[in-house]
Parts: sequence; structure tokens; C-alpha cells
Amino acid sequence: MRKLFFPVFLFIFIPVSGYAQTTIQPAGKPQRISMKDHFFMRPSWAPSGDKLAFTGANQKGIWILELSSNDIFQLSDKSGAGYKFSWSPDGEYIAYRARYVEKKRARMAIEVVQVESRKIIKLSAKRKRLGLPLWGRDNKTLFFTRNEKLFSVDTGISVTKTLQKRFLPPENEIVFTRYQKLQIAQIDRPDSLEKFLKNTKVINPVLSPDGNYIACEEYVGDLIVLNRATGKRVDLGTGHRPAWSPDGKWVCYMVTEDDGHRYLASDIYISSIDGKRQFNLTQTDELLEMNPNWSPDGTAIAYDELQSGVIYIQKLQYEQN
Amino acid sequence: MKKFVTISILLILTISFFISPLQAQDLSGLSICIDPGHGINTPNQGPTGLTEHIINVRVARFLESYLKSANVDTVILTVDENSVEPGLSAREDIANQNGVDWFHSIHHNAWNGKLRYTLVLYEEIPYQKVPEWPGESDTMSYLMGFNLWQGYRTTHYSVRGDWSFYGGANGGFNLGVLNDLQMPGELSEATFHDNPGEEVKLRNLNFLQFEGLALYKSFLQYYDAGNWGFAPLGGIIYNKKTSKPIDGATVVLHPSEQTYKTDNYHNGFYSFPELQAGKYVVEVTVPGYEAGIDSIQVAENEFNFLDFYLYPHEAPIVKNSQPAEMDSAFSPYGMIEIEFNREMNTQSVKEALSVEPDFPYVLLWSPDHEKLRIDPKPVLLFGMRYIVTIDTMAHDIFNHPLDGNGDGIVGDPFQLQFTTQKIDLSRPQVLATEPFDLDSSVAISELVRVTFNKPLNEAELTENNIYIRGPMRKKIKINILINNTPSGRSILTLVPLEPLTPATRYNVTLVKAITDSNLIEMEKHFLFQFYTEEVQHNLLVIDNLNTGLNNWSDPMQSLRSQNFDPDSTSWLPDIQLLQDSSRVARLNYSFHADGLLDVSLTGYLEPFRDLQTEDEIGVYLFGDSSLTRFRFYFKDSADSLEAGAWHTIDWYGWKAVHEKIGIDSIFAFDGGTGSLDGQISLAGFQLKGTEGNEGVLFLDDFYLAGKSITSIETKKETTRPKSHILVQSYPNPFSRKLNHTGVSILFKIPNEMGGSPVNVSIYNTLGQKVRELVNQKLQPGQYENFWNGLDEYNQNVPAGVYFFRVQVGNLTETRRLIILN
Repeated sequence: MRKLFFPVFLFIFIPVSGYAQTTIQPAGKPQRISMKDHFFMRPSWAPSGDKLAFTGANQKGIWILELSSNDIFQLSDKSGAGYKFSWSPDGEYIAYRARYVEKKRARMAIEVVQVESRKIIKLSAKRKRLGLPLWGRDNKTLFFTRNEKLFSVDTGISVTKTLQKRFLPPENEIVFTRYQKLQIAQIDRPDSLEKFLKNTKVINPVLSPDGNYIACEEYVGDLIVLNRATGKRVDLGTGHRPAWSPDGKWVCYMVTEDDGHRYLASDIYISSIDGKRQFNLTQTDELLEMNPNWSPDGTAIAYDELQSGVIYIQKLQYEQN
Repeated sequence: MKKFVTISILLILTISFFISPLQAQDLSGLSICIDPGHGINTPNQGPTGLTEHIINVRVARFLESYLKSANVDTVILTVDENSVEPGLSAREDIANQNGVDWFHSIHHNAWNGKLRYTLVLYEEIPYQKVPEWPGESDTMSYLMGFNLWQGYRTTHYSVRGDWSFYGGANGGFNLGVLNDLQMPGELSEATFHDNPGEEVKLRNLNFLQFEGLALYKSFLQYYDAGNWGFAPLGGIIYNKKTSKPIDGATVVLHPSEQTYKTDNYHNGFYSFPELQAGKYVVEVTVPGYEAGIDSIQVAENEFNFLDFYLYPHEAPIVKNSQPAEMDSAFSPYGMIEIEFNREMNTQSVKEALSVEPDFPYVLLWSPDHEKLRIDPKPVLLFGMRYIVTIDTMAHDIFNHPLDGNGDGIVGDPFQLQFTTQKIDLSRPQVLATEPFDLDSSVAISELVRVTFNKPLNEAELTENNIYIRGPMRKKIKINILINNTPSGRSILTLVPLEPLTPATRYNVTLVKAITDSNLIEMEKHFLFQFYTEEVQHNLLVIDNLNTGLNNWSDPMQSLRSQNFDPDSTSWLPDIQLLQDSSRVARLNYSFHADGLLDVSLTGYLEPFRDLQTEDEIGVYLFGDSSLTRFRFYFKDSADSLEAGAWHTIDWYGWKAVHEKIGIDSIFAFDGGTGSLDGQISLAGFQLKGTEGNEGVLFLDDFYLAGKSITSIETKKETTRPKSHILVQSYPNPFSRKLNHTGVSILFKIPNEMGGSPVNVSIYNTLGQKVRELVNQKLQPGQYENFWNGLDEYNQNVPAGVYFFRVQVGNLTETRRLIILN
């Protein structure tokens, strides 16, 4: 365990409403999180906001930052575990897809690790073509695809504390891709599939907290926000790896430039879901900020910097116009 | 958009048509993501406008089809023919989201329009410069590098970590498309699409199919998933006279009777990609050219090539002769050489040849029957005028009569007049030695060099006639190398095969029996002595370059390099034998103005990391007496670059060049301070030349001599690549008088190298190939070949030291061989 030297970050919940009149600006300089000889990326807030999890280079391993003490510890050293791991709604567990190599062939396994005890629960055999795990709202059920079919598994975890609604996934639904196409399933009826954008392959789909919108990237196109009820899509322009604000009114994402070989520039952007208000949060020429993730209380965004492997936490300032 | 979709469908259908159902190769259970680099908006076009993205996608389609034919579960292409430039993160996320087993990004390189080598890059951990996916992406990269090099016949292949490749001594950055992957992957640049000669080939779908095959083969090899099950055959049809590819050729394959018509893109390429192994006859016809016909044994699971050099309908002429017309000082020991511009009917030339005054001779032809050697028996007379005539009866293999005076009209004889030199009865003399006699501070890394005033007879340059004695009058083991300089001198280099002992006297003896090329002996024995310096230094070879140049960057990629001619500049592995090395580095250089070539150290050579005061960094450098200048440069704790002094290359042959840390002068360089502070590491070396400077240098055995080096033998052993070929020779030395069969050369091909190209060749001490014994693909097993001491013209080679090199795939073993009369 290693002590980090940066000021304790105090989260102050700021009610966010009326986004049409709101602008979002960085509040002060971002806090820097790093550890000597370690390269970190892809931060993800715990639902309770008291921890930040992130991975190492090439998604190897998971580390946890305790925001109250500034301590960092390694939770997992599994290859592949860091790619889109999923916090349980109660913030006690993290589910991930680990990568194993047997006779040169990669096999995936869905596993859950308890953050406190680091005890691992293995939920699947090592198989090919396993999708990423997603938690159900009940904190017990885990969903993943295998050979493009959706499966659910009971983790056997008993819920020990009352789950707060604002930390829960959308009501009874999960979003995933099947044959690279966007789909939503009812978690109590995994065979009831709702399909969207039938002619478009997508990546990085995320369901809004209220379940009404989906943000995703077209395979080789723009970042879009899809209204499920109306089918209307809003094109946010070039953007990658979207993440929702907790109130579901904003999307943060990264905008990158490259020459086909290396990244030349990258910044974190915030956009209203109608695409009418867009802000560059980072605005640096020399840093390559990537992989944003909004804190559960809406007051900060965590992201990483590609060249240094440093995680940043940027506090946000909401202003009414 | 509709047009794009139509083109895409047509392209996919066309590529599918090229690929017939294959034998069962098993890649089942795997998911592979193929990433054709760039997009339709990327302006990186070749000289005639072919965009890289289109090439990349076409190759990807071939690879996709082959992988599917081997039952791969899923093949995902990140982009297609119509894609604009998608972001690098999107390409990675497509692979990550789908949880594929492997990621491969297809690119084609561009630099200055002159290069054509294969480059494969894998991801490295920043600063540490070690593979991010050890044993996975680096292994696959080497397979791909080798296979692409074989399939495209590029000049060479280079496999590098991305962090090391992009940047100087400290590395630069990771490839954006690799650094966030959840699985191993790599990026290939099979060749250079901005090279005009390569671009015209890249327009041909069948040519791209070979790239798809090479990548496909790499996956099969990596996953031990079987072989292709067929034997691709390809080749290029050239104009024999201009060496340029010919359009519009019709190629017919017998017995299958398949026909291929070459395209009109000026590449001359033809292929039959999915043949069954066996012997085929290939017939080529082109209007205005002589027809070509040849046969080839096509091997399964290998790229097979058969090129044709077709003669246009023209008369044969003499291109060159040795001696030149009216030469007045031709050596009477020399052979007369006449080079024609095309393959001759040897019998007709023999009948048409006459010499005046007459002398006995033997005629020798080069294998392509273009070069004729007249070998006087025993020798010509001193101070005599000769006339060689080839009359109009001589004709080429197509019965075109000789155009002897080259005026474009047939029917003239060829005539060559020359005079031999007057007899030289002077004795060979030593002009200089390095170290000089009684030199008392000789570094233990030094080589001993002796300069003679005239060419020597190599047969007498044996360990009996030349030796170095150390303590207790014990002879030390040495290699004896001889190099004749352009000014007619001979340089003997004596290479100690074990480090010299500090503070020790050594005596060098050159026995009177050494003769010059006229077999005249030295007047007396020549002796000199020297003392090694007293410091307690040990010597450690850090990079013997036997495994290639992976630790060093290509000087043409360095931003510090300037005013060099890219056409005549290259940095390649080669053989130019020193000590027990099988490989050296060859630096061809040419400057069109005052210029510089910069080679930075990108690999991780541990002892170079923390140099101490009085440590000596050195390299053995084969000079060309060009007066170009060489220097090392270093990096210190302040992260600044500091350079050593320039060494003017005023010598010919091998010599140690070294820099002593803290003792020799240091100069500020590229932001440096002019002093070395703190942790010091070697960062590279530079060559500086002036307008018109051109030549070739060889480098071998970068070494460190220092107090801090403790276990020489142990460390040396660990830096040496392990042999898998197990080469032996017997008897060695080999006496032609006692043994008529020849020296036996035994080697073993391990199972994992089965089917690899094998080359066994004999080299003299100048590094010149004397005879090739084997050049074919061989299956695993033990093989024995005999060399009877004859060169490629079936002439006895002079007695002396030779080397035989066995190359199996990318493994090489070299051994010394002594031939006695």
C-alpha cells in the first residue's frame, strides 16, 4: 500500500438541473494520481464515490484508490481484468473478464473480486468468446454474453446493506452488443431483446442512468446519443468512449487526433445530450487526456493521460447562464 | 456511396475468386481482428496515386479469406474500403469489445521513395524497452517479419519494439493502435508503397495475395495449426538488358496448363498462388523478346520464385574486359576476363577465340555463360604484348552473331590488346606496424596490423609463418586476415581470439617464408614487440551483432542524418569475418554534400548503462581509408548528449576504435555541456563525410573494457546466441593431397526449422563468397556436404584460411576451415 500525497478531495454534491441554461467548467487544477514505475489508465468511480478503480497498461490488473486516505492498493493482477470492469451496485465487488492463455490460445473467464477481502469468485469456466460482465440491479445477478448469446449467473452474493437508488443501474435493463450490433435486454427476461441501429455496428454503448438514452460510437463514425422512445439520434461529432453524468443530462467523452500511427492530441469533452452545448474540459496541447468517467455525485470527472500513465481528477463548476 | 458499396462487393468477390478451398488447417476457436491502417481520406499516396488504405484493405481481405478457410471463429475488420479515417481508440475498442484473441494492423511504409524493407513493430513497455506481451506479440512479429520478407522479397526485415523504434536513445512513444489492447497484437509494414518499383507491384492483386499468404502463414505457424497445403509460385519477368520488368507477358505453366498474363503496371509480376508441390515447367512469351523457358521444383508451404530475364532481339556485344584495352601493366599471373551482355553459346566462342602470341590456356565460364575467363597455363610472359580475338563465328544462345565492336551492326570481330608488366623482383617489405615496435601502452582490445608494400601470396599467410607469443613464449590463438588496398598494398590483421593480458610483453613474428604474388620471399624474418597497458582492465563483447542490428537504429530514419544519398546508403547485417563472428554490420554511405549519418543505440545493452571513469568503449571498424570521420556519443545523468572525438578513418582493414571515459576529450553535442556527469551510457555513433564521399564500412563487436567487468567468459557466453544447427567439419585442416573426397561439412536442421531456406557457402578471408554448396529448402534432419577445395569456376582455391557459413532460416553458424595443398 502506498500513501499518495495530494490534498484530500471533498465531494460536494451539487444539484444539477436545467442543463439548458448550464455551462460546465473545470474548477481549479486537476488532482494528480500516480505511483512510481506504474502506468495507470481507465479510471472508474465506485458507486458510493469513495473509491476510484483503474487499470494498468493493456488492461492488466486493477488498482483501488481510497479517496479518504489516499492509499492505493492492487486488487487484481489478472490480464484483461482492467477492460471495462464493473462495480457492483453496493460498491463491494468488482466483476471483470480475465484473459488466460492456454496452449497459445486465449480463454476468458468471468470473475468477481471482493474489494475488502480481495477474495475471488469464479463465475465461469475459461472459455472463448465471452463478453464483458454487467451487474444487475439486484447486486446479485451478473450478465455476460457467450458466443453472442446473453447469459445470467447468480453470484451468490448476499446484499448486506441497503442499496441507494441513485447508485443503481437502469431499471431491469442492460445494454450490450451482439454480432457488434446494439441490443438491450430485460434482465429478468434475457431472451427479450430490443434492437437498435440495425444497420450500424457500434462500440462502447452505455445506457443513461434513467435508461432512456444510449450513448455509443458508430464503428467508424461519430459519437451518437439515441433516444430509445423516439428512435431519434443526435450526432455529437467525433468522440470516443462516452460516459454519462449521474443525472443523465450530459455525456463526457474523449476527442482524439492521430496520424494513423500515434496520437497527436486528445482532450476530454462534455456535451449535453442534445449536442447543443459542448465544452472542452482539458484544453491542453501537450497532454493526451483520455477515458473520462463521471463521479457518482456529479462533481468531478476522472480521466487518464496516455503518455504518463497518470490519473487526474478534475473538479467541475456548474454555472447557470 | 452506392459506387463505393459496388466497388467493395466487387473487390470481395474478386478476392474470394482468387482463393480456392484449402486443405484443413485448424485455427478453430480463434477470433482475430484485422486492422487495415488509415482511411479513404488519408492522403498518403504512392508516386502514381495508389493510396495506402486501399492496399491495406485489399491485403486484409485476402488474410480474412484465408483465416476463414482455416475455420477461424470470427474475423473482424476494423474498417473497410469505404471507411474514413477512424480513430485509433475505436480500432482498439473494436478488438477489445469483441474479446478477440489477436489483433493485427496492416500498413505499408513510406519514407523517401527509395527503401523497400519489411518492418514489423510490437508494443514495448515505455522506458523499459521490453515487450509488453513477451513470447506472444514479439514472437508473432518475428514470424511475420520473416514470412513477409520471403513473400515480398524485400531487401531485409526488421522487427522492433515500438518504443525503441520511435525515438532516440530514450525511445519515443507507443503505437497508438497497440497501446490499449487487451490482447497481443502488432503492426506490419510489409514494404514501402512510396517506392515506385514497389508501388507498381502493389497495384497487382496477385502480389497482395502473397502478403495475405505470408500473414496467414504466420498465424498457422504461431498456433501450430498446420501448413498452407499448397506451394505458391511467383516471379518477375525482366528485360535482361535493362533489368526493367516487362508488361504483357504470357506465362504458361506445364503440366497444369494454367496461364497468367502480366498486367500493364510495369511490374512484370506473375503468380500461381495455390499450386500443389511438384516439378513444373514455366514458359514465357513476350512480343519482341526471346522466349523463356525454365523448370522449378515447387516446395509446399514455401514461397517459390522463378524470375525470367528475357533478351530483346539484339546482337551480343562485349561489355567489359579485364585487362582493359591497351592495358600496359597487366599481371602475368592474372586471368583474362571478357564479359558479354548476354548468355553466349560457349562452343561457338571457344571456336572463334584466338590469342597472339599463342599460349596454352583453360577456358572458364560463369554459371550464366556471360563471363569468360581465359586462364593462362601456367602464366603469361612478363613484358609481352598480346592480342585476343573473337571472330564473327561467335554467337549467343539464340544464334545472334557477335557485334564485336559494339556499333550496332553485326559481323565485326572483337579484339583486345594489352601488355603484361615487367617482372618485379623486389622483395616484399613491411612498411608499418600497429602497434609500433616497443609500444608500451597498448590497449588489450587492440588488433595487430602489419602493412606490406605489395600484394602477398595468401597461401603463405599461415599460423606457422605469422604468430604472436605472449608470456612464457606461448603462442596466442589468432585469426589472420589479409586485405589488399586499392593502392596495391597488403594489410595483415592479426585478431587475438582471446583478450590480451594487461602489462604483458608480446612478440610478433613474420617469418621470411612469406611471399608476394610473384612468390618472392621476404629478405629476412620481421619481428617486433609491444607491451599492453598496466591498468587492470577486462574486456567484454557487448554486442557481437550476430543476431542482427536490432539494438541499433537505421541511420536513414534519424533526424540527425543529413545530406546522404538514400539510394547508396544502407545499414545492414553482413558477413565480413572478424574473430568468431558470423555477422557484422555493413554501413554503405554516400554524401552529396558535407553530411552526417547517425546510428543511435535503441537496444538495452546492460553494461553500457553505467560507464565508469577509465572504462573504454570500442568497436572494431573495417576502414576504407576514405578520410570520413567516426565518433561515439553518450548520454549522461543530465539527459544531455555528449560526443567523443572524431576518429579520421585513414586506415584500410580492421582496427579497434575506442573512447576512454573521463580520459579522452568530450565535446558538447545536441544540447550537451561538454562534460560527462553522473550515470553515463552509450547512445550511438556518427559518421561524418564531405561532398562526394562514398564507400562502405564494416563494424563488429562493440565492446567494453573496464575495471568493473568481472566475469568475462560467463558474460560472453550468455550474450552469444545458442546454436541449433550443430555445425561440424572434418577433416580440418583439409589436405587436397591426402583426401580427394573433400572436407565434410555436417549440419543438423532442428524440427522447428524444417522447410527453412538453407544456404551453405564458403568464404575467403576477405568475406568474398568462393563457392556455394547448398541453396534450397530442407526438411529436418542431419545433412552432410563435401567441399573439395574448388571455387565456382572449378579451380583449386589457394591454400589458406577459409570460412564456411551454414544459414538455416535466420540462424547462422560460421566455422573456420584450413585448406592445405
